[in-house]
Amino acid sequence: MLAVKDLEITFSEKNSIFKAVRKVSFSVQAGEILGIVGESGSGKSMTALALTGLLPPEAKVCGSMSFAGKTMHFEDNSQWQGLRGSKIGIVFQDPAACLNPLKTVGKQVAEPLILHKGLTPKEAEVETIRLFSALGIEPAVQRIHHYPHQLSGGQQQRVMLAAAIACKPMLLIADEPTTALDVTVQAQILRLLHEYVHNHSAALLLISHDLGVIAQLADEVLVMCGGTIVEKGSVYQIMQKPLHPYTKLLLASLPRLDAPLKLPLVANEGLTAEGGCVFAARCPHYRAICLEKEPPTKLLAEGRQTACHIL
Amino acid sequence: MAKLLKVKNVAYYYTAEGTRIRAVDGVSLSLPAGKALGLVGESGSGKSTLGKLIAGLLKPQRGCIYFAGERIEGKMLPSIQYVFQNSTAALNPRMRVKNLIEEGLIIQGKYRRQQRINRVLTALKAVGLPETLLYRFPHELSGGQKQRVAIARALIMDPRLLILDEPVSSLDVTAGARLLALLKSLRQEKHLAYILISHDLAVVRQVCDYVAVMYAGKIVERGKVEQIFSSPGHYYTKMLLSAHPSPDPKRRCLPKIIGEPVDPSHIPAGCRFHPRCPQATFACSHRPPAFFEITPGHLVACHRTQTQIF
Repeated sequence: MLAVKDLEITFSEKNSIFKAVRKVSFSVQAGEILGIVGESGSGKSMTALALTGLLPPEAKVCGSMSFAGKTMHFEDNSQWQGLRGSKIGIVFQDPAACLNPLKTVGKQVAEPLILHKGLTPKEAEVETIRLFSALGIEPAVQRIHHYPHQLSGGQQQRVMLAAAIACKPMLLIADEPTTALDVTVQAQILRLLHEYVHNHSAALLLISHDLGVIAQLADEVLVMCGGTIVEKGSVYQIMQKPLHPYTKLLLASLPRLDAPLKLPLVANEGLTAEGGCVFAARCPHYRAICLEKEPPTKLLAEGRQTACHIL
Repeated sequence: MAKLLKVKNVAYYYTAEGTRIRAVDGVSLSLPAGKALGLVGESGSGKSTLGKLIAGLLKPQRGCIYFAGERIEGKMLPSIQYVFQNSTAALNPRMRVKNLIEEGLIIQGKYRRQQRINRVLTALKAVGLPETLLYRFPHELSGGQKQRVAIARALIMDPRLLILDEPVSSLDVTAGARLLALLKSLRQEKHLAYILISHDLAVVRQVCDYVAVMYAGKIVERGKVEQIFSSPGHYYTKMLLSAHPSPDPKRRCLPKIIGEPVDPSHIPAGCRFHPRCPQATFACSHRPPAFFEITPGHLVACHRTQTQIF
């Protein structure tokens, strides 16, 4: 349903060039949940912004994506106007910053319905009330008249989700949707995301730094580091038999309820790997070649792929 | 064992927009020297307020706090240091790392310049930061480094108790793991006691000896780490544990969580958790439960646990 090809995002500042995302390609089927995991600065949020045409104007972007049978080039920003909010829904990390503080939450959810679906304000309000009660924003009839500051963080995120799914998008992008929330509220939001994908056969791009969240929801997982995909596979392959040292590091660093944390490795201080593997400077197994040459992406059995010289 | 810290029935209320908020409402706990206590609970449970009461940043309206045998309500001691949640906000953006770490010593006025510098270098080394960062500004540091500077700032006062408010919640998972390892080794080296405030049970699990679970301004369960994690007594603790996402896709479950974190301006009567409890009975909505010791040292405030045991 969605196929991204050779997405590349660069920022240039005076005489330095920073590649936020380098030649990233992936695809998602309908009804599938693709998890993108990585640390801050790995390019995962930039990828999400590119898919929604919301990158800052100073970003240079190349590549193309085919979505719902249409091929679109990232260079041309205008094509996203009609898609955002109707066919592509977005949920961001910080609902308090994303909701307009001067508008009632009901109006904000009704907006895409009026704009894209052509509903009258009255019809949109009825639909908003239906959405609110489906997502547990109760009592819905009163809640639509509230302003964002009157809601808790969890309720605000539900409102964001309501606005994102109002037009029943085929693709939902959730960028760290639960990072700012309590673990109990996180479980509730993840459940709602899962229900939406299940009931509407939509695709979900779930971006998170938390491997726990990814493991709970995703079918396929992309591991990103320094703007490249270092490993890709099914959630079972990635979580149970990680291949790339970076994936192993992420998994080993996650505090768990059932086992004490064994601290993996220290960074290799002072190493520079310009032009080499993005992870070489922190890799415990690096060799000379890792510092000089970018590792090619190797395709393995069962749709798995990884980019590492050592494997 | 002699207790380093004893908190007896403290309460702290404040008024916001005309409603009285009972942030901490009758909490008692104690902590031996050199041990670590994890305070867990959802946002609004009062865990940070309790931490600030112990650090003397707030003065309780009721109850006593003893530290090394002395009453300390509302007093800030050099031996109790607080490491704030958001290190970016806690570090003055116009001060360099050296001055940030040194500040407490200058205020104390006990040391000469050279002694202070030596102590800054020792503190910097203790938290695993290179000397090259000494004259940097906070904006030049990564999140993990800022958090370390905040800890060094606290360590330089030679504290006996460190209160850590969500030390890893703003860090990447890899930086968080390194910080947790640092906290573990620091505690052993310096025989420090910790109060670690976190909403993440897995973080508490890594560092702490004891756990206290807070809900709506009260402790609902406390005990040793093993007791709480292997046989949680309170439904709230069970809810928190079940909601923790496991990285094992085989153990996938999206638990059904009832209700939302409590609004501290509308605290329910009886057991404060009863509107969200799947097993609440008539008694739960009318009578607040008392603590009940299910195994030695493991206390639970729940009517149901009590009746099930007898």
